[in-house]
Amino acid sequence: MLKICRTSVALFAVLLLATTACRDTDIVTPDASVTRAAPSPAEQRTAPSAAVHPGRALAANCFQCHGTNGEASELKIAGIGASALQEKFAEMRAEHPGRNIMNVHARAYTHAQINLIGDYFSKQEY
Amino acid sequence: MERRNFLQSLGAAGLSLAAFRSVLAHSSVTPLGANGRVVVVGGGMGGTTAAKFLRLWGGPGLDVTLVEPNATYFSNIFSNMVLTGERSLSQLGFSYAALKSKYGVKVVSASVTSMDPGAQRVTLSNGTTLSYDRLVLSPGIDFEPLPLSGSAANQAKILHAWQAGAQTTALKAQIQSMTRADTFIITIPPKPYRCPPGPYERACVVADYLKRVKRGGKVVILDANNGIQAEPVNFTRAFDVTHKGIITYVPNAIITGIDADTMTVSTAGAGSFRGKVINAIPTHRAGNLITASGIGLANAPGPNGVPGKYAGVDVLTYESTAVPLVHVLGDASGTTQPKAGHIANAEAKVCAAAIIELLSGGTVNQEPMTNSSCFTPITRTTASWLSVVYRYDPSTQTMVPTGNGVTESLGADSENYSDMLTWFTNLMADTFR
Repeated sequence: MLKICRTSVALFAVLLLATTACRDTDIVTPDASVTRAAPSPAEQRTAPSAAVHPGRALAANCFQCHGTNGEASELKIAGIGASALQEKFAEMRAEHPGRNIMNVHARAYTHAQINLIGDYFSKQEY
Repeated sequence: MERRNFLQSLGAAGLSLAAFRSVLAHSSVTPLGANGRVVVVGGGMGGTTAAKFLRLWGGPGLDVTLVEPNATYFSNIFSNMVLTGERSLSQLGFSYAALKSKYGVKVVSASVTSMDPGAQRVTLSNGTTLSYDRLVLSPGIDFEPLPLSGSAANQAKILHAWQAGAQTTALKAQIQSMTRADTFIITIPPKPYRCPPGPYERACVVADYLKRVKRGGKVVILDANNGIQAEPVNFTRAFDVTHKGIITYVPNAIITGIDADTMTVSTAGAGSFRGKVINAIPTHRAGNLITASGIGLANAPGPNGVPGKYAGVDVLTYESTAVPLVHVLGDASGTTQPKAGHIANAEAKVCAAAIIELLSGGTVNQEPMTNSSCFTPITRTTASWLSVVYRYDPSTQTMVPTGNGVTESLGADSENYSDMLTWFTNLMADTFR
C-alpha cells in the first residue's frame, strides 16, 4: 500500500478534485468521544493509505471472484490497467448475456467507472 | 510517512493550503484514519467480511471485535453437495484464524445476550460487556415454527438443513437410507428466503443422486410461491428435461400441516403428499438478534407491508432506520437485494467503507454498487449461474438492478461447473482469508 501511495498520489488528487467538483456532499463531524487503540504488529500491517482510491468501492465488487484486491491465484486481475480493462469489458459486452457471467458485469459499469476500477487494480501487486 | 508524501504531492500539484483543506472537506480523503470501536456480531458471510474490511481499510485506529459463538463457520454455499456425498461438511468449514492473525480482528467466542443502544453497549454470554461507537449485526436468519404434528421423535426427523451444520449431515443420512421406491419432499417457504435458487438446486442434486446411486426414487417440490423464484428457464429445463420423470414441481403449495407419523404434507389447494423424507424449509425471519431483541430493529416492511421480520436499513451505510449507530447486514436486513452469501459480502464492504468514513469525518459514498453472483449445480458435472449488479437509486433510496438486470446462464454445462469451483474458492478467501 505504501508503494501505491507514493506513485499515484498526484493522480488521486486530480481525480478527487474532478470527482468532488460535481458532488454534493454532507460533512459528517468526527465523534470526539472515540479513543485511539494502541497499534499491534497486525495493525501496522493493515495501516491505511492516506487517500482512498476513488475506484476502490467499485473494484471491491470484483474481489469476490477475483480475490481481495484482485490477487486470487486463479482469475487474478491485480495489475490490470484501465485500457486493458476497457478492452476486456468491450469484448465481454459483445457476447450473449447468458454465455459469459462477465457480460452482466461489463454492462453494469460506465466508461468512467471502468477507468476507475482499472486504475485501482493497476496499483495492486501483480 | 504516508501523510507527508500525500501533502508533498499535493504541493507539487500546485495546490494552496486552502485548496487542500477544501479537498479534505469535500472528498473521501481520510488522512487521519478512522478512530473508534466497532463490534461485529455474527461470523457468517456478511459479518466476517465486514470485520476483515473494517481492519483492511480502516487503519490502526479502528478497534474491531467479532463476536461469534462457533469456532468454525460451515458454508451454506455447496452444502447441497454434502447431501449427495460430493463434499464433506468439514470441507466447508472456515475458521477465523486469518481474521485475527492477518487483519488484527479481535474474535470473541460468545453470543450477544442483550443490547443497550442508548449506552452503546452489548452484553455477551460470557458475562462481559463491550462498548461500541458502531455496532454491526449480521445474525442471518431464523425460522418460524412449522405446522408439525406426530410424536416428538418423529417430528425431530423433519429437517430443514438450511443452516449448514448438524442438520446437513442428518439429512444426508436420511437421503442415503432411501430406496428406489421412495420419495423426497422438499417444501419451499414464501419469499423472501435465503438463497433464492437454493431449494431448486437441492431438488436437482438430490434427483441426480437418486438416479445415479439409487437407480430410482422421486423428488416432489412443494413451493409456497406462485412459480420458480430464480433461474426460471434453467430450472424449468432441469425439471422437465434433465431430471424428467423424477422431479415433480408443485407451485402455490401453502403448507397447512406436516404429520410426522404418517410422513404426510398437507397443502392448501395443492393436495397431500407422502414421502420417505420430508425436507421442510420453514418460513424465514431475521435472526433473533433482530426480531427478539426488543429494541425495535425489525421495522422493514414485509411482503404485505407488515413489518416485524427484517431490519430496515439505509443501503448507503446499512445503518438501521430504527436504531442509530446499529448497522444490519446480509440476510437479516430487509432490502431489495436477495438474501445470499455472495451479496452479503458485497453489502459488508459498503457498510465497512461507510463506517470508516463516519468514524473519520469523511463522506459516505453516495453511489454504492453491489452484485449477486451464484453458481448452482444441476447435476454432478454441470452447473448454471445467476448474476445481477445493483446500483443505488437516489429517487427510491434503494438498490436497483442495473445493466443487463437479473440474468441467468444459457443452460447448465461442465464449464460452468468448473467456474463454480473457482467462484467458491475465491469468494470464501475474500471473506475469510
